[in-house]
Amino acid sequence: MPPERPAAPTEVPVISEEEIARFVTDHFLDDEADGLDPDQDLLADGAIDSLGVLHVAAWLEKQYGVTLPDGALSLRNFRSVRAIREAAERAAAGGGEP
Amino acid sequence: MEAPVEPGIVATGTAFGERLSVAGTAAEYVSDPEFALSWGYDTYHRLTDGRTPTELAAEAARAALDGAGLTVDDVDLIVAGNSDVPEYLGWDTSAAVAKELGAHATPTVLVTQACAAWSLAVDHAAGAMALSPETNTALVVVVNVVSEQHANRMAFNTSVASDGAVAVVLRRGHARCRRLASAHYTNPEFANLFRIEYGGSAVPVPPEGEHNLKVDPMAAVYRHVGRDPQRFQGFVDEINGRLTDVVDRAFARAGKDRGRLARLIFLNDNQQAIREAADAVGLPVERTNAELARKYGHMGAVDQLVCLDEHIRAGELAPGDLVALAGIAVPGMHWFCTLIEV
Repeated sequence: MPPERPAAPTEVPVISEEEIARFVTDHFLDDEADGLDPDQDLLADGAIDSLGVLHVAAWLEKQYGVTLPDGALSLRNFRSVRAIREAAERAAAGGGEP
Repeated sequence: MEAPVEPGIVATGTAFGERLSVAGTAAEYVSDPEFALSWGYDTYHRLTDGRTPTELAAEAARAALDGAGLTVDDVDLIVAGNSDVPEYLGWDTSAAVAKELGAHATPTVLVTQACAAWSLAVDHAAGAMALSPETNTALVVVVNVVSEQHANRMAFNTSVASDGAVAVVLRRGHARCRRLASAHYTNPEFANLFRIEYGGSAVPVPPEGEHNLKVDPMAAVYRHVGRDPQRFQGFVDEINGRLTDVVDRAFARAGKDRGRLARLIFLNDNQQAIREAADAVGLPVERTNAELARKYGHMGAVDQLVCLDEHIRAGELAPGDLVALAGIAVPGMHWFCTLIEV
């Protein structure tokens, strides 16, 4: 049996809050992305709903190759641009729910 | 000429758990209380004093019987509904409530179809009156008490689940609050959604590290639609489209003009969902139970009959008004509407 070789390091993509803000603005808001605070509550504003979750998840997969696990598709992970970025980074690092 | 069989509500009784503030207690349930607060609920009820669901149901039943000036011996049929996890597996809430009330040999029936249980319970009572001339007075009692080891009342869906019970005394031919017709639709494609994952015979004990409270039911919905936004949109469209269908069908069955709909009493869902339901049936949200939903929370199958009673007491409904008591029940998925003429 050959010796076990260490796994190649997995490259974790850099996930940009600016790009997330741009996508959210283009698809769910009327304002310009420049004005979107990364902590702005997207749920309270009604910008993101259950359908929006799937749109964002699909975009993260296409844009960054990051697939959020089913358990991470909770609305609370889509509460703000920052929350989306953090959820995507956890998924990219092999984690899921916070 | 035979007397009309349509039963009417003679009296309503209610019983609730302790009334609590969502803002003051959400942190006990979720890590981000603002999310639960965004649904628009102010308060809800939680059973904290050791009473069982059966005891809560019996309390509501006694209040309804008192209001009708009857005892349980005057009742020909007891139909009970339970929309949450009962005290025990295999537990028959209808027999247990009958025992609590001191009934002797009164036939009882149990309905467990989630939030639709009250509608089916009322239908069963109406059907029994149609089939049996000996059945003239029925007690319908419905209870919802969240089993907090099985579901998180603020994280199971986008409503705040609440504990309550309601009972109505129905009498054949009673002229007030007459049940005119019901319509139901079931889409079994969604049968696996919103189930409680562990504790039944399929998975009696959760795998190590798992717990019902860790299961997010929406994840199953997303899996069901293959995480495809378009398919999910179809699911959302179906929710409100079927609601319109069952309201229309209930009116058609009753032979009433759909334009006479005075009020929609939907389940005590979040404010956005109630607005969408109002839009679907063509009413302004002011002619729904949206404000009562803020106060009561979502009490499973208990919502509609409590709200009907509240709207009547508040003078918001007048004799002759046609009210659609409607909603959606999961697991199922079921859409239901019972048309009441006040």
